[in-house]
Amino acid sequence: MTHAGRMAVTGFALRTPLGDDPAAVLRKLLAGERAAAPNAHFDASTYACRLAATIPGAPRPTKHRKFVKRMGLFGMEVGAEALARSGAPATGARLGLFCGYGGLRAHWDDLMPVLERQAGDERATGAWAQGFSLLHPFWMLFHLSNNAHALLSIDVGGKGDGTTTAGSNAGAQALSAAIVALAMERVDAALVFAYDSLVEPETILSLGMSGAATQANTPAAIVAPYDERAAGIVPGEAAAALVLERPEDAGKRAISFVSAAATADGAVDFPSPRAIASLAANLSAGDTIVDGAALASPARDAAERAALADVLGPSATLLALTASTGQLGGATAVVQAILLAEALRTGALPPIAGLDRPAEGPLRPLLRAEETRARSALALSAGMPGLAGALRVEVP
Amino acid sequence: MKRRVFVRGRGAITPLGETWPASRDALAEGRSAVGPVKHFDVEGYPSQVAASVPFPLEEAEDRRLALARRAADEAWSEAQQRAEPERIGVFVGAESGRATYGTIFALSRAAGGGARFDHARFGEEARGLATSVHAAAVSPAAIASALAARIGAEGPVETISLACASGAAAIVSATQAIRLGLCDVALAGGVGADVDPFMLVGFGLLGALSARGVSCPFDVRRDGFVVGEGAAFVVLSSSPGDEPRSEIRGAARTLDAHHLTAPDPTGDGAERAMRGAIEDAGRVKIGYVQAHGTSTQLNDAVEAAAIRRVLADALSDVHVGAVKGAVGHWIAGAGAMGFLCALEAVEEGLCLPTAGLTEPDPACMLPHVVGAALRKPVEAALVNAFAFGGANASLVVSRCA
Repeated sequence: MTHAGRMAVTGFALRTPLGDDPAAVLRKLLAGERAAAPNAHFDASTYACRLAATIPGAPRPTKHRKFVKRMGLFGMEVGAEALARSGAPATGARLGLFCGYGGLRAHWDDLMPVLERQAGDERATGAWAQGFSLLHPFWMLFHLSNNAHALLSIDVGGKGDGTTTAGSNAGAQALSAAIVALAMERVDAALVFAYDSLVEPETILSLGMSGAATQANTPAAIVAPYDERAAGIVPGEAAAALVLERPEDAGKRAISFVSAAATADGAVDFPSPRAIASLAANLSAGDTIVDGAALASPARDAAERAALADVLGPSATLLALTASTGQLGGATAVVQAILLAEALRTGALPPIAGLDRPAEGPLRPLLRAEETRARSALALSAGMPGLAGALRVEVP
Repeated sequence: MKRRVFVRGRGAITPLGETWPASRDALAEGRSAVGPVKHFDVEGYPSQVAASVPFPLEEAEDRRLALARRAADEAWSEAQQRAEPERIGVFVGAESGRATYGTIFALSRAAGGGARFDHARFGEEARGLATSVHAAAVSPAAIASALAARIGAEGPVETISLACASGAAAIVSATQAIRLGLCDVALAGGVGADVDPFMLVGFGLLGALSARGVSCPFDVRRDGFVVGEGAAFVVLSSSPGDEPRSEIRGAARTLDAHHLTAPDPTGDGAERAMRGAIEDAGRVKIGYVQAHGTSTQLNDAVEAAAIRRVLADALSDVHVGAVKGAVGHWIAGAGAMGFLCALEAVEEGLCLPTAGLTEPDPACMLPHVVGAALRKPVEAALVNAFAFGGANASLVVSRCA
């Protein structure tokens, strides 16, 4: 597979469990901080996975609360901020919007009263009279996959090409789709925004029971990815946005450059290391730094390192931003694009937070922050079922 | 010089047929699959009809996947494509999977069954239900991922969740990927499996569904859409093969930037999508339009006016059909089903009719195909898919000379 090219980043914004200012978030990353904490959204003390990395605070008050839930509102916020900061001259039909979101979640606050008096038989006998009639007429709008995409297009006047891509690698898909639209000159600027939260009851249930998520009782007990005792990811959440333009149009407004690709291999759980490494091979251009998928499973981590060593060489530097931020699902790639660019601009690479006993193997998992003169890095992401994303970040 | 994109295979499972040929034959006769919902109790629902797939399906993580596999297998089998795995892409229009009513009910009971979600109970009592909410069952991307493995694709894989435009938008993405050289072969299409209590209630409460229980696009009596289900896929290739039949000549997507549920009454976004696809196609003579045609008041009138503006004098040589009259609205799969209808027009000269249309609304005046299919040579056909949220996708497919 080849990719559609490299585009300039002219604006960005994010909301992460470690904050919403990339420079401040980078400082926390460099200090090895971790956002993991007892689940702040709900009492998870009886769940298999009890810790989570959540965004502090709430979205700003907006009329869109009638139609869009919390994470979508964060996505809309960062999208508008990124576009305002970019200085991109494109408007109307020359401005495209590409959204990546993880997937719909049940909204239990709405559903529980509706289901309370249901009989629960397979035919849903009497469901209307027993509660469905109580649903708000706008309930459906919360379940429109493209609700944030549509409302943000109205807010910013973007009328060009656009899609909502979906899944736990949706950010990489959205970046790739936006780059295609720019490469084909369908639009002159592409606003890419992605949002996702793994901190939802069913997701935490599923991740915990499958063994993919940590079962540590306290943040201090979490074992980092690429550690020989690694034992699961920390579910997280984020929203992030980039404005992309063709490099020749961006000129001196270019903050960084990005290329991206996404694929899937049908695995029920995480994708094979081969799928992840093939994306890295497509995008790599002599890079020696990689932000790994960081699945925090000794077997998966080892296989990933082996596969990446074939592409990057055995001494490439291995980072794991999600060891600090938590796994960010469909938002991962866009967050990586912002934070890696920040690190490269600053000339400092963050350590893998909490990494104490790195497992034997190729690549060089970073134990302590270190200076770098590199101007590019790869970033990988992986999610269920069998979804992989990758990007390459370069700074001028 | 952009690479050409040939259509090499197609497949569908619809409420009217287990395969595309079977479905096509039923559509050509003007048959409709819309009928009362029988597999769950719809007493009191704002709309009590649907177009369900009545055929037995293989067991799968969820119904979307069972439907998608059938249609994709048919398309892939017809295409007989050979390419390096990394040169094969998959592009799917799909929404999130939903656990069945029974599963959601069980989850609510695990959460205490009261008006509030009891996390302490859920954390313990829902453990046995974890597989039913696993990503392989509920992720919107589960379909594309599973199909990629099924056909051995290792190239770009994309899932588009763009409501009612998803399937057509996925074909647009596949077209772009082949043109740019990101892959040489692409499986593209969409699937919808929304005939369930939550979707019927949700769309019904929103006022989008037909209270009369009739899907009749562009008819003066139309009062909303009817939920349907099915899957439709095509295999696209940069290679024409020995006997190329059709190719995608134009593809475009636009955004209305107008309203979350209502189309822009000026039809600007729809018009730009159609014009974009036609301009992308270059010199072609459109002979058939497969309209989005949802059977809702405003959408049909806005689309009809936009088609009239775009085709103008050329409309005299055009016929228009809307398949939702026969198979209902598949939401994420709808645009892909429309694309198959357009293919039939250019490859076989079979212009499929709009079932349910008996008295065209003066506001929707177009050269409609009513009753049974019309036969005529068609050089090129236009396909429309317009979504909630104002996302629009149009495609132009033409017969290979």
